[in-house]
Amino acid sequence: MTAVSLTNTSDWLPGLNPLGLRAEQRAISPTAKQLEDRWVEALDYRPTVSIGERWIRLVTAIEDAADEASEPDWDGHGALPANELAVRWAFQFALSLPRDLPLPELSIDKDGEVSFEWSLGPRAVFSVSVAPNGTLSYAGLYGHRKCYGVESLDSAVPEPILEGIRRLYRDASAFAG
Amino acid sequence: MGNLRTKPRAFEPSPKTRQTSVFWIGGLSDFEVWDLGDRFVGRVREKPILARATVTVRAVEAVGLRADFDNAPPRHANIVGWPESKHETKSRAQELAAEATLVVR
Repeated sequence: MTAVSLTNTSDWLPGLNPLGLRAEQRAISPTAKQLEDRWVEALDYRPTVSIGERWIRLVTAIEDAADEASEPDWDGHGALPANELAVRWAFQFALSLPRDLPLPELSIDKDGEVSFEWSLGPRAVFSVSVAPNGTLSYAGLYGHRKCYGVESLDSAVPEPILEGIRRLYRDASAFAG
Repeated sequence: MGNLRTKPRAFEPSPKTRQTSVFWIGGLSDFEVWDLGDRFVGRVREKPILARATVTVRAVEAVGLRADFDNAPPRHANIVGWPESKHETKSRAQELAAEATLVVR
């Protein structure tokens, strides 16, 4: 049995800025620009270089992933394009991630949801898919043990998901291959 | 970010058919396997195949799925029986990926 992976070239998801808004949805007046800048500062993206770099890397990864999957049938097997609402929720989820967590790998699922994945090996992986309505479907594999479930993204990352990620790194030596 | 391993999403089913398209490669040489992929996958998508992931039918069945051979095109099959829920699908794809062997061209 074989599943085949193919290359994907990428550009940015057209029109989406780091806040997950299309150009036409962004305010363009000086006042609106100031408001946007203040909002960004209020969320503490820029006080330190490391926080800013982390945010930029996450944003870039989300946008690159969305662009790779921006066309219908991008996998040749009927995959749906990256869902714009899911991409917006993905920015929110990325913002909510505690800064001490390692950066995840970003990709788009075949149903258009945005996937955040932390992996230390084939049997040491935890993944969260962000749906267009903010639902978070997660699954983790720790050696031969597994977990999975569904949560909603509110103001913070749900505890089962945080625990799933942290367990991966806390117990890494036990199951990472 | 990114390393050489089989990504679980490679096994996730099509959202339209709830099937994962695969080829049975038993008895084929390495050259024949790549040729199969080039002819029936790469050419259709007009993209080069850079890697392949292989799992056994037993591994598919061990996670509660099954292989449905339709031989259209030749040696083609589908992994079927995926659960409806997204989180359970993700979990099974993770298990399949963990059992897969990645071959880079």
